[in-house]
Amino acid sequence: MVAGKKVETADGNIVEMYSIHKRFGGVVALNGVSFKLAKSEVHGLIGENGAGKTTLMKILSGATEQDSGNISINGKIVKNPNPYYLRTLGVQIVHQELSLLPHMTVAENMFLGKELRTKSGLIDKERMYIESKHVLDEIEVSISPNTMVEILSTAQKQLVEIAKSMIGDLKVLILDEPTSSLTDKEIFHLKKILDMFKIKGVSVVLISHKLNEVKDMCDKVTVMRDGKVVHTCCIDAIDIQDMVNYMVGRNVNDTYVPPVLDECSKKIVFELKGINSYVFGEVELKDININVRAGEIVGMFGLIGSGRTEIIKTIYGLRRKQSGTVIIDGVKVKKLLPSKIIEQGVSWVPEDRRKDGLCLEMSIKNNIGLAVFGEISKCGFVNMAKHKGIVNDYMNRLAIKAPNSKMNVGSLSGGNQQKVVLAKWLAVRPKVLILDEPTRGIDVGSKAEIHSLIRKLRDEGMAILVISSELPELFVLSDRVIVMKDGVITGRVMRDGTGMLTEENIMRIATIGVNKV
Amino acid sequence: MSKAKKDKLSKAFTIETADKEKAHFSLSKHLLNFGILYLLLLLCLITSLLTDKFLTTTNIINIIRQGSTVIILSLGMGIVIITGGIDLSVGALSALSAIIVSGALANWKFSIPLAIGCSLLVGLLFGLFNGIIVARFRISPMIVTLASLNAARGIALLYNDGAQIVGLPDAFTQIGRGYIAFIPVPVIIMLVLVAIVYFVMTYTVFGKYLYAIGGNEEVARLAGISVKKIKAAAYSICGIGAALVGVIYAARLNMGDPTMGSGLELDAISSAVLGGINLYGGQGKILGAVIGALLISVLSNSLNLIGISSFWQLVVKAAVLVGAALIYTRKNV
Ligand SMILES: Nc1ncnc2c1ncn2[C@@H]1O[C@H](COP(=O)(O)OP(=O)(O)OP(=O)(O)O)[C@@H](O)[C@H]1O
Ligand SMILES: [Mg+2]
Repeated sequence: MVAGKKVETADGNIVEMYSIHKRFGGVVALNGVSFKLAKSEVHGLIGENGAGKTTLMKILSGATEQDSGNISINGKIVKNPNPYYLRTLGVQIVHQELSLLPHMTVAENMFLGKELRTKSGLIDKERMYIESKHVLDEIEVSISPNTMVEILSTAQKQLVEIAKSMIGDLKVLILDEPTSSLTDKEIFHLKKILDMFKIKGVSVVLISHKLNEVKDMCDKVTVMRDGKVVHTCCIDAIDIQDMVNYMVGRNVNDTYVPPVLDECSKKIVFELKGINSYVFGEVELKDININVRAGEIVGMFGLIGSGRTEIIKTIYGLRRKQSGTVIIDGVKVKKLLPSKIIEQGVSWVPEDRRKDGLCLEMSIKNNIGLAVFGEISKCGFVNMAKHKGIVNDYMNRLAIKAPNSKMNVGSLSGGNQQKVVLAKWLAVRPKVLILDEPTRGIDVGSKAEIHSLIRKLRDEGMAILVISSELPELFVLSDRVIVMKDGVITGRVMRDGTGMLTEENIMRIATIGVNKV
Repeated sequence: MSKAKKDKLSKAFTIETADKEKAHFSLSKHLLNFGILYLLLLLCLITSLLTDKFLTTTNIINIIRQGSTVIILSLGMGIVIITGGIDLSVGALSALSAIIVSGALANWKFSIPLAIGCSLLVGLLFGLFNGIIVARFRISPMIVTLASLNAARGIALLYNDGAQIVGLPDAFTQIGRGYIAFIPVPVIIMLVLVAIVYFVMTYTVFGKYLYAIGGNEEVARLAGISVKKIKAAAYSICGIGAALVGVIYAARLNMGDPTMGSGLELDAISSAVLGGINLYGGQGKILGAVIGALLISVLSNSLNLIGISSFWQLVVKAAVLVGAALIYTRKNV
């Protein structure tokens, strides 16, 4: 499979990619990209949504084949790339969309496709258990290898994916947006793991939209734009503002702008009273009281497992056992059911876009229209002109990068998929908008756009609840922040002159759970 | 962050996993996993209270003998469903197999092993065809196996102009009617197959790959698993199972009947569903399908003994199937 031809590698690069081209139908995803990765370096790969980062790394890992261009690993050109072969060369990838099998155990997932066998050729469960435990211990993850993957949290899955890549030979580890669903605590853990890899001589490619992390964790950074590499340099030679400039080619301004409406004109439109819920007979949420006023953005913060998303699931009636009252614009919701809540003007942008947010096989156009078809149709016929208007409007406003609106959502880049989910629910123009991790996987430029769009909606009088694991996001959006821990609200932090809305303060309430406000 | 705080954080992380694991092994979960088995036992208990004809050795052996063909089919069907597919052709395929084995014995005067070999080969080829078309050309298994159903049934009818083939050697009919010690031969065949399939599903890499493909085909492909080969193998196994059932039927009825076995595929699918195999693939235990098939068999036997008409039996079976499906969806809450 490998040609014996040696390529000179002057500076000990483990991976070299030369003028890679890749098109998907009419879309040029990569247009002559060259990329070099040195031994034991952590290399950041950044760029706007749809710039081609994932595609480049899929090619390096053999999941996709390039149209032209060469890859050499350890000085040898790779012919006939396929995932299996590249893995034997030590290239391991953790995909942007997590890919573990939910109904299998952690150990089975870690050894998928490379199962250990006994002498008689059967699966050697015991040895697989021991070795996966060993690897998990090495990266200080305390998950039993016999745990079913379906009960793990996203963060834990992420760590299991990394552990999975350590089975067998690991020389190059590709992490495609590993931190987009992690909180600071887990990101800290990830950093420790990367430090350990560096000592072991493993090279890492880290794709991320969180530029401060790139600055923090990487040795080098490569910026991509529109399928090309626009800049590569040592991390010390570039600051975050420059990174942004290379990525989007303009200045991005994303700061908190106070609402235009004044305090006393606001009325409460979204009110939760005494929400409780139970899972497997255990208390999940306890006595949650929240209210959001018209023209106000309330942020919601908490570590993973604190119950933020569970509140929304509860008021949508998705829990087996629940109680509490929801009042929308002065009217009590009679029964906690999705249809009832939506009827009264609530929209919820869920956090897991692939599971709850999108019909991946449907076009962008129909995904965006899905929630407004009722509104823009007469006698069951959709008003095509209105539909088209809405779709074009939101594709522009959110800068959705796609050749046309008839494309399948499944073939968009991760960040663009997220934008489609947002567009779908923004198009409804609800009274109450609930955003769960609205900018997960979205690049800095579009993020600022989306933030200003959210602020604009607030100024138009919408009541907005934003759940986010990113404190900076909450800072630029929220008028106040609610902090949760273990299913109870442990603090409410106001944005007023006293400066209580600080990172320190929020982290303290989220981790220790004391509210000194 | 202070050191103390960090310690506390990492501890919180540990405890969280441990707790969730514990919650996972709760009683309700256990009942959901083993519910079908308890249901079977409950059914046996109730029937034996209602009639003393149920719990006799002859009746029990009878139930298992009648059930053994559906059990054999449900093994193959279970495997296919676990990969996320379905095989509608098994009933027609067993009719074709019965015709081939009977024709080979009665008309062509083949030896018994050769005749059986021929029909199993046809089963294998049909299965292989299904598997290759499904895996290679990504056509819905529903369509492909529906086509195979018609093809197999058509060939079976064409062979003898729709007439039955009679006059099979006595030695052959023993496969369907004979006993070893006091156990019927079909039951022995069934038990051996259950043991083999259970072993393969639990201890071999092939078994794991079937689940992986059903769980997420793309993940399996990226893990370097040759999805096409494994799928082709799954449908082939199902085809051989169907052919074997055809042989057993022919032996038991002492003839090849081209119209036999219609609807058998639905019994096999029901067994798998009753046994908790997820129709979307990737989830479920093969022994569940076996117990599901047994439950269907016990249910018809009980209803017969109690004297409920066969029309009502259909309604009761439908209710049980829907009930089981309802229980399994709760599993995912
Ligand atoms: N399977 C596919 N079919 C068609 N187009 C595709 C496919 N995969 C990617 N593309 C297109 O290729 C371009 C690059 O996508 P890619 O996923 O590499 O972006 P990215 O840099 O990873 O973005 P993000 O930050 O949003 O994840 C996008 O325009 C995308 O729509
Ligand atoms: Mg990407």
